[in-house]
Amino acid sequence: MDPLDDELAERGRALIAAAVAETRAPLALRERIETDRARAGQQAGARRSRGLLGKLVPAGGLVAAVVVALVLVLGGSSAPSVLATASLAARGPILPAPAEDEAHGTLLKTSMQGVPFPYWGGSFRWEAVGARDDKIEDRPAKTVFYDNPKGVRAAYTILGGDKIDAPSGAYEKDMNGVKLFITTDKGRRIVTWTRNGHTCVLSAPASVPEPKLLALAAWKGKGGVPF
Amino acid sequence: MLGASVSGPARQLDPAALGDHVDRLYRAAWALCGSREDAEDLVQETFAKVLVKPRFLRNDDDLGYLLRVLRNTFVSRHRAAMRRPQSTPMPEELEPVDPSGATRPDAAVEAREVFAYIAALPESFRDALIAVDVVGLSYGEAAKALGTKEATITSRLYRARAQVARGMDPSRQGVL
Repeated sequence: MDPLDDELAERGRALIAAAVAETRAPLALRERIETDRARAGQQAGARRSRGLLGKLVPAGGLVAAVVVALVLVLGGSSAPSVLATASLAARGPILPAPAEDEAHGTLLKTSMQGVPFPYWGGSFRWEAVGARDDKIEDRPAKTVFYDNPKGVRAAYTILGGDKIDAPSGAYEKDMNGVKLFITTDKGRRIVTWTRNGHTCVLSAPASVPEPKLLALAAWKGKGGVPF
Repeated sequence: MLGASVSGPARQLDPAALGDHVDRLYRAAWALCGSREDAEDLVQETFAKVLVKPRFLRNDDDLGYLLRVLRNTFVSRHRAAMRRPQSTPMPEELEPVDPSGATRPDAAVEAREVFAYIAALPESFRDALIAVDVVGLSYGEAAKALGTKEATITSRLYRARAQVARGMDPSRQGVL
């Protein structure tokens, strides 16, 4: 091939890579998709409920139908699981990235029930790129999304309320005096631990080495990040 | 239309995991449409189609599947648009730069130009370039998604990249 063509092709590849790296879906689009997804989930749930009641009632299962209805209405009283909390990562950010708290160079200006999120931009070059607020089993959950320079994304969720159990099968490691539980699910590495009595869940693609993820989770910023 | 590969047992596409792919599909949509506004509509319509009923896939390639739906939705919309009276779009220079879409305003302008050039490429070049360089599929995945050979993808990519570079450099425009 002509060296000039090679040079042009390489230049084109670099231009496209730069455009890709600079472009993210607008938050408004993410919000609309999230709304559509939630609506579709509710409609699917309603269809399943109608289908289940339709099968029970003709069989004389009126009492069973009432029980099913009560479960559907009252369901969700149990504590959320770590894996359910980690699944928020897949939904992506719908809120702008929280800013660095300049008064505390190790924190972001956002928190969950008094537990602030860390600022990793300075020490790790993982920058906050967005956030989202959710409710899981009636508990508030705030997630901050961080990207590293290669565009790999990690999701850090702090769950409101009391701490929850680590997932069964998770193994335990200690780093920096923090007890961390590690597992994997759907191609993602998940770490969970406790800060000020609240469960934190950090997840990233399994391509992120475990020591890196643990170092992020257990980072105390020379005491600037409260645990 | 993009082809679909069939192998292995069926599994349901997890709607909760779709958020992982929004960024890449948005870039692909922009590179297909050449317009950010059309890209947003296209991505939302694509997700709405996918969410309307459970989807069962026979491989792990969620992204390849979503790219096929996106591409097919784009083709359908394009055909429908050809049957409607055309409206004049807002001139590119008057379009606001969305601060949430890019980290630097000058980079946003350059990205817009790059995606516009990709959209203007011949269809076969454009599809190969979107599958590999924009969405991030491997050559093999792209070949499977586009129903062609890896060698064809390699050749189309090479020529497509060169055309984009030529288009972005005014001094090279018209040079073959």
